[in-house]
Amino acid sequence: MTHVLIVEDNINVRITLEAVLQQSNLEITCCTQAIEALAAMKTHPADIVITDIVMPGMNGIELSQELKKLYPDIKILAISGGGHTTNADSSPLEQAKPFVDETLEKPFSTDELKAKLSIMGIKL
Amino acid sequence: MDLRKILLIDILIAAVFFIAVAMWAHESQFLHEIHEDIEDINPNGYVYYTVLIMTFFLAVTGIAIHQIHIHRQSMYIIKHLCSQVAVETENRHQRHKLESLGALAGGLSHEINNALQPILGLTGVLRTEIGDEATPNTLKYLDTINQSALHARDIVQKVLIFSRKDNELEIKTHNLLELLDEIVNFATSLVPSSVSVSRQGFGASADISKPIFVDLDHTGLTQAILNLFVNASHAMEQSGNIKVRLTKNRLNKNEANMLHIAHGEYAVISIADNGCGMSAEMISKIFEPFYTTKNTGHNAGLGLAMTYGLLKDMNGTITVSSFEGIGTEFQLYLPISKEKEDKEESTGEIV
Repeated sequence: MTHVLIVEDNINVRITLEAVLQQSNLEITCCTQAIEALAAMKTHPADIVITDIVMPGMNGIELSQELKKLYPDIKILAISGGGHTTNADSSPLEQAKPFVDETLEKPFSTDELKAKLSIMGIKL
Repeated sequence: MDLRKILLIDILIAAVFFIAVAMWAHESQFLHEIHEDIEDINPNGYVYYTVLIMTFFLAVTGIAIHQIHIHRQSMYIIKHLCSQVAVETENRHQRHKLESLGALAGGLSHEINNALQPILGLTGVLRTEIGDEATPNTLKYLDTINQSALHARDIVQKVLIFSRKDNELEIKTHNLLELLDEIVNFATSLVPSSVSVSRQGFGASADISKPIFVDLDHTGLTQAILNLFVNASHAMEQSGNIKVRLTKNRLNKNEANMLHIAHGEYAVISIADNGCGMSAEMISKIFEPFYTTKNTGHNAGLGLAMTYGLLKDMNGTITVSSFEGIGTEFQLYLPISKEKEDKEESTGEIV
């Protein structure tokens, strides 16, 4: 069974992601922050990580860099509500692109998420 | 008027005045009466005294006239400078307002998108969970929630254009002669058939041997022109004419500064309608987000603010002039691509 790790600080978005993925035959682990996700990966490695980008503490981009270093085969989908919360030149998703496999802008429909996971080779 | 001309006029006035007064003094007994106490007055003395008095008198008049001229000239310069400063201050104020709204839009859209995620995601989940048990009404309501969330997502996307930066636009070099024709064809199909569209400087009548190359985002320009077409057709309730004109304009430093763009050569797309026009108060607000005159319920008042943001992203700008009851004209300035232009000139014929 494919193991999916969700890293998302917003509780409502986390519940939504879990609900959508539960419809498919997947094993799901939820974390509220990056450090927690790194610890979860040590005890029970996931095949795919769906991570938010803008999070307190370690952000999604830093987490993705760390994960790719530790687990080169891991697939990462970065999700973000967009906007420029810092003075950066591009949106969080644009910045994340070099470090992750796929990106998806919030809000997305269940079909859009499932389509993205299919592209990443996840059987739903 | 330069200083030399003013001096020449002073001297001429003085000379004419002098001759007139000298003749009068000679004819009348004016000086004789003054000097009646002097006995042996020389006949030439009349002229001598006249010269003495008049020189003083004319010097004073000349200087006074001269001063008035200079004063008027400097008043003109001061007035001109003041109006320029006022325009610049207003423009800067407007730009700052839009920039800060851009920053606000960026932060706000992140929050709204997160809030919309459960609505959009869970309606899909609920649909599957209810499955066959769903009544037609349940499905209808779920669809309505879903559609509404999608609509909100679109609005957020539009607002985000304020905060997006250049690297998110797909800037490519296009021949505006061809591209504008294509966009105007598309835009024409979206306005009512009672509205006629005329073209000048591009399309069938244009000289295609002189392409106009511009670096721009195809989608962005299409959006901008569509917005202006929609506004124009709303301004002309029954029927009317939209004139689209493409010209080239070389802006010097002063002209470019007034428009807050770099100086150089620009392609100018003018879109003019003969609709109801706008008041001065409306003109001052039209580029502000959420300003709308339409009460259809579907218009968020983002069209022109978005167009402004798009043009700025493409290193251009948009200006407006309008008269109530006569019509409105928008001018879109887009910088002409220098590299491509040079290449064309060196390889193509010089006409």
